Amino acid sequence: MKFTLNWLKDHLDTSKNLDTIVETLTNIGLEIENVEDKSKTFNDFTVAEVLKAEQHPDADRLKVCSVKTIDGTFQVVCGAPNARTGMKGIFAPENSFIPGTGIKLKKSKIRGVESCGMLVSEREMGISDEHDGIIEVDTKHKIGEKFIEVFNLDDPVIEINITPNRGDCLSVRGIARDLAAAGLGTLKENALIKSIQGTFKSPIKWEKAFSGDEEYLCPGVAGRYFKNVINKESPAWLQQRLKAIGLRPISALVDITNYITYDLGRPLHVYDADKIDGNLKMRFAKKNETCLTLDEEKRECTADMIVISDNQQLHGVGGVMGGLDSGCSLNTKNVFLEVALFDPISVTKTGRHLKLQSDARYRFERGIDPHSIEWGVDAATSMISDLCGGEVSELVQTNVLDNKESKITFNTNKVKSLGGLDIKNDKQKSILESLGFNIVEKNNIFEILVPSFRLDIEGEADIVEEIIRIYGFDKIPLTDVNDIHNKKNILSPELKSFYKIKRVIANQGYLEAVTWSFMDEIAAKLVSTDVIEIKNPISSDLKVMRPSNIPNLLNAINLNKSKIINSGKLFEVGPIFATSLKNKQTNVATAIGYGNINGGNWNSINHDFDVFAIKSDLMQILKALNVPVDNLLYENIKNKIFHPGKSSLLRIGKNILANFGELNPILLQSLDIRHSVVAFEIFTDTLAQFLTKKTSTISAFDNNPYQMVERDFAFLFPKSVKANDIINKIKKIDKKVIEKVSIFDVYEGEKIESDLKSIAIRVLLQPIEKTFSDEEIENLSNQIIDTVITSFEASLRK
Amino acid sequence: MALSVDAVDIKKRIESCKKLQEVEGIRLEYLGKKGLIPSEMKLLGKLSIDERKLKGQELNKLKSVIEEAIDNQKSFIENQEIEKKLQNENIDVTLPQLEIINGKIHPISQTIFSIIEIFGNLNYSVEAGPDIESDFNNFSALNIPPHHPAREMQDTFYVQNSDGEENVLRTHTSPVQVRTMLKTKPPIKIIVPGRTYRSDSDSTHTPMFHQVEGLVVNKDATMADLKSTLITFLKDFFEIENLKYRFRPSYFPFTEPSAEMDVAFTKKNNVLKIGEGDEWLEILGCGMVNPKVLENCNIDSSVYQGFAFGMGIERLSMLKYGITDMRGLFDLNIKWLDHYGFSPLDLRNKAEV
Repeated sequence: MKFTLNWLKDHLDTSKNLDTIVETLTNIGLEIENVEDKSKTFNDFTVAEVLKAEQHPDADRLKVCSVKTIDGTFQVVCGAPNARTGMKGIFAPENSFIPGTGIKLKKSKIRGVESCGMLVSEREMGISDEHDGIIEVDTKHKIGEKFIEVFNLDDPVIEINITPNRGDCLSVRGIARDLAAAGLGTLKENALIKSIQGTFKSPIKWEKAFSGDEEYLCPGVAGRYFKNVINKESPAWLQQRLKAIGLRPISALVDITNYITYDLGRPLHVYDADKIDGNLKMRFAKKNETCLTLDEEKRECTADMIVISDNQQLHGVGGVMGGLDSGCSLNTKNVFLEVALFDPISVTKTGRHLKLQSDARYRFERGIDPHSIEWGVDAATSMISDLCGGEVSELVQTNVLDNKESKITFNTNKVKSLGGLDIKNDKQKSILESLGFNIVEKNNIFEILVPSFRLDIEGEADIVEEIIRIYGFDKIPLTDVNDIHNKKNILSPELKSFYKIKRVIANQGYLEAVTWSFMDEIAAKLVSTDVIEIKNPISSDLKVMRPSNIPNLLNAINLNKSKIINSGKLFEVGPIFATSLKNKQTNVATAIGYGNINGGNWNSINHDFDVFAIKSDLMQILKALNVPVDNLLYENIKNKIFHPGKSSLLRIGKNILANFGELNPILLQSLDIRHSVVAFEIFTDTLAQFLTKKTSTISAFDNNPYQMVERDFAFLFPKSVKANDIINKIKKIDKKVIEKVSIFDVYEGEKIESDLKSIAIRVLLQPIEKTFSDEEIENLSNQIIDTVITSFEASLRK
Repeated sequence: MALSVDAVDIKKRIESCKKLQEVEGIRLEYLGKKGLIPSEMKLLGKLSIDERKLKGQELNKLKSVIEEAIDNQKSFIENQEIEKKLQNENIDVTLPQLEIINGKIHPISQTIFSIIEIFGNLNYSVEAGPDIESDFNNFSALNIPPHHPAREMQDTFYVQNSDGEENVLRTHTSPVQVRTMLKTKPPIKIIVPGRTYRSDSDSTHTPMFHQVEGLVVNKDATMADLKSTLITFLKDFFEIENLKYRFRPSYFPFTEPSAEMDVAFTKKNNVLKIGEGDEWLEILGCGMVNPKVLENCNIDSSVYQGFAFGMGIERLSMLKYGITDMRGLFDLNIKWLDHYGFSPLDLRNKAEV
């Protein structure tokens, strides 16, 4: 919402300066978006007279002018063809800032002749593109007169951001009312609203096809017929105000409707009455009906839209835009006025459907004063009569739906109990009254009648807001918000694992990234068949919710390769989506690693980050989150993300905790990645069970004094045997005594049969009650050998 | 009968040895099986008790003197040899070490950790909810009726539900307020950090971003408590005790009265300095929970009241950590992530340990 300071002063009698007004607007909830005060920009520029203009001695196109200004006479070199003796122009002194060029003016020599200051063009002033010559002003202006006064630019333009609830402040008058309430002056009588008697009956009548349950859609419409008007350019004051707020002046009749829209928040429409056949009627559009609107677009209407029609055709879409054919032009002689009310939701739907925004729609959507039918006609009548003359008909109007008065019973203690501050009843009352509320006071109870233009006021909380926003939010006192009672857990175990895992993974050398929850549809369908689509995606590559976070992270590889970073470890903790999941999503910590991570160093291991490297990281991470990693069960992954033979999921009981392994080369190829990449996914919700807070989780240290024994074995196994199964089998032989089973060598190759592999196992034995005897060790060794051989079809390697 | 040898002489002989073999030769001469001392020892039995005692003592003393001298000389020679060897052992220690790549926490996470820490100290607990939400939770329950300007198609992402109902990607974290109120009885005191979505993309808007929501519902929370909570938070978050701020009226459908908070800033050489100056930066929206919202969530608004607030985590991160390009936050540029990321050990707490 834009307006100028002088415009505001039409409604507000105030002695306050611009800065105070601007600050107050923000403080009462009418947030300042921008203030354009040209008086500061143009302060240095004044009218000056060219006493003489002579040819420059060394340049054909330049003139040396002697310029008389308020501060003395200066020599100015000027290239404008219209610079001549006796003319008056606008002088920019030395050191002034030229708004159109953004340059600070310095004294200079032009082709050997000194030039102090300049005579400026309109373009140099930034007020138009005109640059054929310097500005000429009427010689009636005195030397020293301010440029902004001559050009009427001295009226600051204020732009405020009106929140959707304050439709009443989409008018200069509404803003003035709020400022008056805030103590910045008094609200003037509305000069536009005066009752004018019609002298004849209108040949056109208003009709509406809405009654009963539908009447709310168009509660009423009124108008008048204006005979023998003269449409012409608006007067300068009106044109300047419209221009200042960014509207293009068209003709007096059209400008009047725009002006009243902004001045009083009352959208209007004027029809060229000679283009209307019969009466005008508010009705629903018929199927396939079209309306050619003022913006010269043919609008296809639907049956739920309110339109205005005569006997022949449509002349407008209700509350949104008028029709082109009956629009007013400079030839218009007779005019018919529309002052209507529409249901906000109906206007919103219509406008959205037509993708058509207008000042009228904007105001109808936010709700306008139901009483504005009466005063709207009065305001329009007085302005049309004043500016275009002619004769005015009697009022024509349809039935107008009764507006129910809104009443609120308000307990004045509510300001303290909700707002947290003390404001005396008298003050509360005076604030409300200055905003147009009517109050009957009984002790601490106000019986409040809400003004018709405040459609946003519905209950006590709204009244509290009205009182304290005018009183001042800055006066709300501060309280002590420290809370030492009710100590409870900050994070649930699920959230603890969600957040804590970030630090744990980063601690293993991974960089955390945040990527979109969306992704490309093609890539998504490569990894899952259960993909959730967005109906209105922002772009085709962000069309579906990610069913896995691996493809998004994989985008890092080629991006960073182009920056010559050929290896990396990255992770993200966030949701993945699928219809089959609870709430359609689950949280996953996803990490990828690729390239020779610490490579490039003279002393580093020269191979890429591989399955066992990421498995090592994964196990460290799980351990740090209290997962009993020795109990993890391995199982094949059934998806297209991982390499089928070089990956595994990890399970405890029914819960799948993680997936890890090498990524499927088919997936990588489709993303144009020529590296092998390893990854893990940890389903953070399943870790919650390990993160519930316990008072003491550490058992006492067992200081066993008996000598440990280490025994090595080498077996030949069929290739299908899994190492983890061997380890678990050996451990089961005697869980107390067998402290650790590790694998220190794996061999496949020429020295053994091709379908076999050799695995060398080291077993660490810890006696419990006394040192082992040789016989005991022998027995245990034999037991291990027998168990392995019989369980896995293995043989001892000779 | 005195011994024919002098301990001092022997010691000198030992100390003059240059090689281990020489020392060994002397050892054999005196301490070997056929050496002087064992030989003399054998003869002791032939002596009278008194003589035996006297000479025995003398021999033992001599033996320990020789042993000590030999041990000392041996280690002396050995050390000399090691030292000589070390003289020839050289590596170029200026060669670069292996550069272990450090993991980093993303600035958005670091900001969330910070927020959780501060509100955790004020006794808030953290809640979460799904990103794909029902229309009721995201809009209707929050008093945003159909056809409200905030529901314009261009703002909200829609997803098709299998049962035909239209779901939305939550446009704010506020639906978690609704979920919490529906399942918990007051008092409620929560914050909700999380992902949010709006169909908007330019230099200052991304289609996905993060918010943190706060909700307090009890019998006596006031606007003064709201204002104080937010000031406490902002001062702590930005670590500025004299933070210059502005608390001004605004509008949100789900709060009444509603407010926004601005902090003052100055801009010098393209660097924002928060907390002082004459320009204002909007940092959060808040208000007293609209009674209609309480009723929509089955809470009796004649008994309970409360406040809610919401702020953008990206903006907080950018302001606090001096990040100028919002889109960088969602980039996978390893250099960027390393530059703006935080050590996982950078725990934010008062003691800074």
